[in-house]
Amino acid sequence: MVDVRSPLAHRAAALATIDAVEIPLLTQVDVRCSEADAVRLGFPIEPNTVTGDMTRGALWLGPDEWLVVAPPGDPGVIVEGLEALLVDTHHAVVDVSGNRALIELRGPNRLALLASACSLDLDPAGGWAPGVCAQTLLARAQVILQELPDATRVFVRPSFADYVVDRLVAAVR
Amino acid sequence: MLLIRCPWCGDRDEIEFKYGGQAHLAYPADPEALSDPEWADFLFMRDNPKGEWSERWMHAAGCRRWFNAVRDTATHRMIATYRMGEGPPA
Amino acid sequence: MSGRRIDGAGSWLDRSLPLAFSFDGREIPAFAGDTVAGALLASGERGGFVSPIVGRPRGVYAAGVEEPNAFVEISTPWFEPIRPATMVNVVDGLAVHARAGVGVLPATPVEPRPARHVHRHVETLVIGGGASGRAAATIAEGRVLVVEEQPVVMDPPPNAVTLTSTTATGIYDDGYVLCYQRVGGLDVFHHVRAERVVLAAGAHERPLAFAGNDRPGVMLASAARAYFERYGVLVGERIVVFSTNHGGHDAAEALASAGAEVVVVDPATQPGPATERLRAAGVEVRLNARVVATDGDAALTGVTVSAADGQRTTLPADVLAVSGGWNPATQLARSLGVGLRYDEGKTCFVHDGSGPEWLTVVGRAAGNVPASFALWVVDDGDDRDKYVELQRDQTVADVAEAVAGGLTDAEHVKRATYIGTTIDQGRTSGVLTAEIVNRLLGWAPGAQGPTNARPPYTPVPFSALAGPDSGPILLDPIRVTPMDAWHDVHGAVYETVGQWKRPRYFPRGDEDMDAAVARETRALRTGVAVLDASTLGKIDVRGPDAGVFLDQMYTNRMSNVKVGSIRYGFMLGLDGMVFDDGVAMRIADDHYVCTTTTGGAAAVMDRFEEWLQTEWTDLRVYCTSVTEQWAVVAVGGPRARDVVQAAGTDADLSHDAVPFMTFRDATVAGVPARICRISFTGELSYELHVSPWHAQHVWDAVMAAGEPFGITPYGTEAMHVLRAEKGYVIVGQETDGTQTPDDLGMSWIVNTAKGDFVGKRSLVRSDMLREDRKQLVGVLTDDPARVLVEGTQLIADATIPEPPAHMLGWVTSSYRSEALGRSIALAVVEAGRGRVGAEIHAVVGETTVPCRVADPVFYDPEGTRRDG
Repeated sequence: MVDVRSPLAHRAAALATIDAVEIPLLTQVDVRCSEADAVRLGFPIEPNTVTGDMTRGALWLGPDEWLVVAPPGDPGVIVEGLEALLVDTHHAVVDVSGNRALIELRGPNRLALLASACSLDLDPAGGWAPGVCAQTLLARAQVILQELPDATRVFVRPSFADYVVDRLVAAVR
Repeated sequence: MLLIRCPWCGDRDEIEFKYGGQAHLAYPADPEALSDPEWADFLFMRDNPKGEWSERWMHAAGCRRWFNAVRDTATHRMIATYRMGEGPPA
Repeated sequence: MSGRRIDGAGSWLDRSLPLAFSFDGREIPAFAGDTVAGALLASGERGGFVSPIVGRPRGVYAAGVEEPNAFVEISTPWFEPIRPATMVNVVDGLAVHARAGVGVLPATPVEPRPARHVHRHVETLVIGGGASGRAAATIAEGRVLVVEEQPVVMDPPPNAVTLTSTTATGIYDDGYVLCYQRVGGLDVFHHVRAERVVLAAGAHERPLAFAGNDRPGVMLASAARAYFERYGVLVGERIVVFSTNHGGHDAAEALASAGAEVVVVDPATQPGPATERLRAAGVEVRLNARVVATDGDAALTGVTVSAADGQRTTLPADVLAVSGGWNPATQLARSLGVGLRYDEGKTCFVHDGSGPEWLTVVGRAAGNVPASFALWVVDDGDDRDKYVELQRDQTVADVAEAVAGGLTDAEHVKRATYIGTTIDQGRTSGVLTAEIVNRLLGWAPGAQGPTNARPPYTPVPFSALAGPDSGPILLDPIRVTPMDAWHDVHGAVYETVGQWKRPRYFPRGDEDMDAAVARETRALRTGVAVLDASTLGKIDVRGPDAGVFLDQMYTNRMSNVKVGSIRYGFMLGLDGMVFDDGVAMRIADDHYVCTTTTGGAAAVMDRFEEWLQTEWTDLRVYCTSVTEQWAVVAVGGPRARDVVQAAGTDADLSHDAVPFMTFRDATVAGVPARICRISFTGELSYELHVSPWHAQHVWDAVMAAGEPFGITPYGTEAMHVLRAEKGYVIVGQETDGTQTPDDLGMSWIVNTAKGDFVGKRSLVRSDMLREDRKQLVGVLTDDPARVLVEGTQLIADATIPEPPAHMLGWVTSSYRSEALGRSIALAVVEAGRGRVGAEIHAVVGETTVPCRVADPVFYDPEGTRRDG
């Protein structure tokens, strides 16, 4: 019996106090390739936007870098699928499923909570809306934020995940 | 806290960026062909003008792209930012 | 002072909500909306305020942040060591104590006011909720935010968010403004980024320097008026108004209409429009007159006025309201570097129009203030009785003394007298001091202006600045590995490495560090031990040019590493100094995984990207950080192979199948693992690189499999000892940015035949070829029990010479070695390799400790142990 542990399994209670949950063991694959190949794969070209939906999508991370997210499962299958689509082109497809934990904030005050620690304009009046993502700092941790219709996702390195939870909880104490 | 326009991600706080010193300094094609003083000049000597100058930044907490910027060293105002391989805007 | 509340007056009060608070133990009645200062005045209480240096009695002087006299400590319902009584709103249960200008921290720490931070983005930020600020906000488009330091904004603009009790404490680059809001017992710091900032902070009324101007009952005319209009408090019954301008005259008119008996003393020689209006309202106006003295003991009883002909009259008075002109509140703009110019008619300094295009200054802050008769100091009387800076007890005489001492610049006078270094930040004293200096030097008014202003605009508690970034956990992010909970449960003592929290040792029972480290190192040398090495940086490097690229980044050749093999390498700075070290594992022809030091991971990744993006843009290489994609369980010791085998693996672990510096992708304990034969201890060692999701599972499996072999978890301290026994360097410990590979005795790692690499050219600079460079050596104390302190300086002789002593070098690492049964040290020593075997002396305090220079490899120099 293999003991599989997600990075924030021990923080469910703390997350609940800020109306958040961990989305554990998501498949995450970092893809580096040309813009032309990205168009072919249906990846977003507009910086800081997302294609796909909340279960399967591609986040723009840079002009030649995307993060593909998919439901938990065997990341190898996704990697192989992408490799097949990019064969004979200069590319890198790297399984990074373990490289980031994922927190999903769900409450109506979630953007205000994030604004306690993030200098991005997270106001809908400033353009923040479902379908956008951004790499930025949450307090002193690097994160990727992704806006969904009723939630905001925070991707963070597992080593920083406890810090981010503590910092968000402290923001409203 | 400067507001710096990443050529890819747009306006972000300075804290997201890493500074990279003077821009448009090419690594010598053949360092071994340089004399000690010439190599030291490349290695250590930088311009220090009052007014506009070009410098490099990297969007460390964002898209991780290096880019160039023109900044006025007297007013601390960022005049322009532009992508690697591009010239400064006219 | 015999203040009283006037029925029906006071637009900021809610008379339906009576409150009370405790002032120095006495109960003072108040209403909702009151300040401590207002309620004291309403009760006819002077408050017992005294000046901090000479202890003179003082009274409430202002109605806002410029208050220089009346300070209180708040003890309930929260603690604050000091705050102007004019800026403390009365709340239920409030208890305050008078403080003489200096706060006192309690002996035992108290819980600070909770503080939140929030980032806000707006198109327009208006600082100041007065008429000009509201007008600017009303016509602004997009998101508009108005901040007002007072608790009330009349008719807030409907298109704006208005925050009261909120002070803009600093304007910074590109429309970044920090705003400090007080909401009852909560502090909120707003980090505002605005496309456009409108400064409408108003103006501060200026006092005049005349003899006796610090007596309780002397206050700013605008304050006397504000106490009536805001709080319905008439501050006195017989009020003399000493005014140079129609702002002061207007205050006199308001006070007269409120029921006070008012006399106006005006230095102007000719009547102005206000003169006639005042006289028509029955107010006596004395032109061409000055206040030259005040009477009274702890409180004002009379004011002596000198007429143009020198004739003196003493008027009975309980309040002397002073208006010496107006200073536009430009401090926030000035801290950005904008300039001021002197306006002769208004006798004040106004914004000269310079500054960033996103900043606009409007209203009184822009100089829209009353014209004023030019008067700063009244000549009659003793200069030692004419106060310039109330909170520092500094007078005209003190300023004169500084000038007589040769100081001519207001900035220097400030530093000599401490004028302006107060809680009110020189709001009442700054311009006055500059003009006194100008006058003493025979310069024209306005020849120099007040000292510069710096943020914060008003004092801010550190607890508010820190906000949620306080407490032990949040000072700096603490990074933990997937096995952290296990380490915690098993008693790890931690050390911080970069931001990582790593187990330093695992004490058993009452072991101290030395005992634990001796046991842990012994276990690894004689049996088996396990280290959590997950913090190593890891970078995935892919592309057809990956080998070519890594040849440029490392000193040695990585392009000819065989698939399945591992090579250790150095990276140098362009200056030829060791920058980081690690291994490159070749996964495929076009695919490597490189490891970095724990602290160097981000810097190495940045550097790879820098060269790829800015110099070698034609190289087809992609780098991805995978530091946390791989947790690392490092199993080391003579029984390491047995343990990994017993944990269950489908790999053949024999030496021939997995020789030193190779790896195999296989499974361990039923999960995928990259098994790497790398050793940082000199013993047989397997690094198991696994998914962080499986890390605890693999760690548990290794611990269970190792139990029969006495497997021992070990920490970074034992790891440091073990590698030092082998003479292996730690970048950042043996190196400090001034060591080349040759300095470390590692010229074998530099491949000069492969072409260029970063730092190569610097290695042949003349300075690098000097024979007296410091070189890595071992140092053994003659007394094997003696453990030198890291950083100890090394000299040639047993006696310490007179300074300047010639230092040969210093100790970089020093431990007690269990394997060698004695102390060992690594050091960098001038021409050290030539000194092996020679005597050297370590400086310890006033004495020296005899040592011998040795080869840095103390243990198993033949390397027979690494294969088990």
